[in-house]
Amino acid sequence: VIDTLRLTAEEAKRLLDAREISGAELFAAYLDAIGERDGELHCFLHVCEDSGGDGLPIALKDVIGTKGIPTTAGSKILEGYVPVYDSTVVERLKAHGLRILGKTNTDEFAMGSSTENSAFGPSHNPWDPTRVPGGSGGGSAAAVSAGLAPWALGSDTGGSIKQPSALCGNVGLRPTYGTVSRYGIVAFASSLDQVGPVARTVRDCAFLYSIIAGRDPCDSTTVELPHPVELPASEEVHGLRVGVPRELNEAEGIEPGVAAAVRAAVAKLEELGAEVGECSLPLSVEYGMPCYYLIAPAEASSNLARYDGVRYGHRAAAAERLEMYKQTREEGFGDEPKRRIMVGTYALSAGYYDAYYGQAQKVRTVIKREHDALFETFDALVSPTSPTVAFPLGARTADPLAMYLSDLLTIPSCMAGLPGLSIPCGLSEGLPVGLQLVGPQFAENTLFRIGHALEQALGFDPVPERLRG
Amino acid sequence: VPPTSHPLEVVNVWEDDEPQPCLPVEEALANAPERDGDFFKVPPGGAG
Repeated sequence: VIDTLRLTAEEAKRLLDAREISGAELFAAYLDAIGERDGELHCFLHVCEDSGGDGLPIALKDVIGTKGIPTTAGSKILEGYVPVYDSTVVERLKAHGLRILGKTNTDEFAMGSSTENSAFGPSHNPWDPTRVPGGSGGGSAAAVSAGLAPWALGSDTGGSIKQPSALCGNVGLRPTYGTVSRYGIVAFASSLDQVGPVARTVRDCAFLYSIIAGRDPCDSTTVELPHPVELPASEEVHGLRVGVPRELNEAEGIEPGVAAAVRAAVAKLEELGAEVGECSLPLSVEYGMPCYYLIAPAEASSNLARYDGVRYGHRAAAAERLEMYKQTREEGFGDEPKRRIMVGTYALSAGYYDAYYGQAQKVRTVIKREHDALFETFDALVSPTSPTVAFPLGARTADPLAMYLSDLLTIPSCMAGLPGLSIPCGLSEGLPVGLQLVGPQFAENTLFRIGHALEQALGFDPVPERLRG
Repeated sequence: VPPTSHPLEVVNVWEDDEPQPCLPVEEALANAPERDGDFFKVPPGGAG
């Protein structure tokens, strides 16, 4: 019997290589798990038939374009859309023999922190189904946590991989901007969007990253990795310098249980031999969020202009062309994309561009420089990933600003294009707490090394308590 | 302070100008809500 709740991708690959199980058996085991638990959790928007082959199964956030498999980005405006080409990341997965289990739920166009903005209904947290799995990639995180997939891909603009990984108790990497191709991904904010892995262990996360990373001629913003991905093996962190930015660890709204779990993990890092020191990111934390909410909506308003009912997706019935555009967008988009299209269009309008978008881009430089200065002293920065554990469904839907604060601690490093790894570091109120490690550009190997050492030392059990047999 | 439009300092990304196969017309039109031969079809513009 294959226990999908416990099986890591690494172990599954070993069993496949040793021919102890077949690819078809493995795929069937996950389909069974989906059949058993996804009725309650609603992680998947589309489940695939087994198409044969012998590789590992994988789940994909539904913003990742898949040839012949519906791709909706959680939006009614893309209902029924079936891409005619694969995104580059999917081509790379297929080249490694990986097989797509299905497409996972997301806030509409990845805009949100709970999956409650999905046009197809929210996903539920496997630790407590009355709570959200985080977002926007809540479907991928919940699927991995509940044993419905050994690993998954998400996408992250301001925290959409790291935050749901934190809330579901698994490992998520937002890679250095430019290391993973965006070709074939439904665009939200192009200067921030990055695809990245969600997994149950740091080693699985690193291995999946090694498959998808690297330059792609179809995405001119990508670069080759300066050094190959190293799977972390040692629990050695001696001599590594870890900074604790005051503002990211003491921000208003961080729950005491979250702060305590992260503090204990940082103490553990020190025990393991890391040099831990306090530091400060005052401008990044104060201005990161307001600037993000200019840049991301501005770029979204431009990217979402393509949904006009002409080439694909929903089209409203209307006798006249302009009316058709208006009706299509009125019917197809939900409230959050409409809100951001309006804010973003205003921020980009003639006479306001310099004052809003242009100014926010300058602040972005300040945020980047503030981080760069810290990396002269530190190899990585540590903080909570999310200020809170998973919150109840409906708790923040009435107040968009309260929802936006979910990403307070993940946004600054996203603005600077830096890699961030979230690993589970304990429980608060019986729910997982995520710890965020941020490094300089291309420092994924350092993050994997620290994350792996901490993972081994903490011995966190990623299987939700209520699902343990 | 200069603006940051892109987090990596990537400039002048060139590719060789070699023709590649492109999407066949049938596939490009596969998701069209309405088509007319090899074209996407839209309702007529208004009088204004």
